[in-house]
Amino acid sequence: MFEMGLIASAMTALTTYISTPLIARYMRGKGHIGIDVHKPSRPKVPTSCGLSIVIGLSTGCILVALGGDYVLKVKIIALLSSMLIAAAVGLIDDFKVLSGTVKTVMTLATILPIIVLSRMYPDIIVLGRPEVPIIGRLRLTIIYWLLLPLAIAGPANAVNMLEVLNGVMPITCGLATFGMMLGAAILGRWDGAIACALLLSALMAYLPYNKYPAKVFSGDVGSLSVGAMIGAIAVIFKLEIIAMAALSPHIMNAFYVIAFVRGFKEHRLIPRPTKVLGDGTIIDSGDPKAPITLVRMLAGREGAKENEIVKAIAIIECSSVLIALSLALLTSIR
Amino acid sequence: MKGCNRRAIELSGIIGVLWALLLLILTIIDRGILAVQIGDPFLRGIFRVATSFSLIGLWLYIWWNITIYYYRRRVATERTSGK
Repeated sequence: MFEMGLIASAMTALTTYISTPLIARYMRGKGHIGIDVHKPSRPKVPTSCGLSIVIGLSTGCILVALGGDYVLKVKIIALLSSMLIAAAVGLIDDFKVLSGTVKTVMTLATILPIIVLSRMYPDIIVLGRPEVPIIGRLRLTIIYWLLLPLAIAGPANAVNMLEVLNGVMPITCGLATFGMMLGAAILGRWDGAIACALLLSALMAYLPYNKYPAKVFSGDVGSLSVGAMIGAIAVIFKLEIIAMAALSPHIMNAFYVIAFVRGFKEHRLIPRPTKVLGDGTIIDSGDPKAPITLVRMLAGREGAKENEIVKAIAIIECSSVLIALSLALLTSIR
Repeated sequence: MKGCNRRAIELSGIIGVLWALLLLILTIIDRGILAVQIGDPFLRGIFRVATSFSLIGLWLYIWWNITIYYYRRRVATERTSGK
């Protein structure tokens, strides 16, 4: 299983690394570009290039499904299906802007393949009663099923909401996935560790293109599919609490925005929490109607450069990974 | 230390505190509230759900107020860069 995981991860990384510049060239040719507003020169950057992560992950998942046993096949099919639905929603949103509510409702559909496969194979995909340190399995019955649709839509949208700076998505999600991979290994869930390895390799192969100064933008197709993949791994491989801890900065940022604007709104309709000075310094906009986001809190009134804020977010992500690993260790002790 | 790095460490501390508080609340719910025995099953169910939701609501309220307090005291009051 480990050799297969290694080969699939290598192929995922290779496919992502090769396909990113090809997709970037295609998107630039089609005029599908975004403006990097955090740079003084405001360069035009091809967007929706996170599609390469979807292609890389699909390659890796198919290889694992072909080489794995029956149990792993079912889990990987559920994982891939959820991620592809999120990617489709992201791609639609990239080309035809959806309202915040419509996008959130559409991402709720990402849970459907997991529910269907859990009904078909109840011994393989076991839903319900997430495991928490000290307590053990939570006695959630009806509430679990009420919250389940948010298990994938939540992380997908949370990752999407924090993806506002160069490299922040691959760096934070890469660190979170690394933490989840170690957490899965601590708990002896090796199939979960392999799924995390696939995502980690795709994100690391994508990072050189998206890091500061970005040559490509992920678009919603990239951020929604990566967030959905993290959520799907958490549900399928029973790593819910570890994933929640590892994604703390994303959840924190999403909570601030949703609580502040009291609902789901398209980010273009929300007053900007930060502004960019002529030299590229990002500062708190001071607008009382704008939500308190993570970037706003980190930039503050004194301001900071884009790459400095990304490093600060990475610091928070590292501490969240440590919390996730502590939770995994506490769970394993029990 | 640069301002944004200092705030990153402080926000990491807030996340740590919130996680510890969440674990405490989940333990109270599991060991305390779900263990309470009330004769009538309907009343027992109402009590368990209402109390558990109230505790989780309290946790979210604390989270939100910590954020607002932190932003107002540590971020909004600092001097601007003057640029």
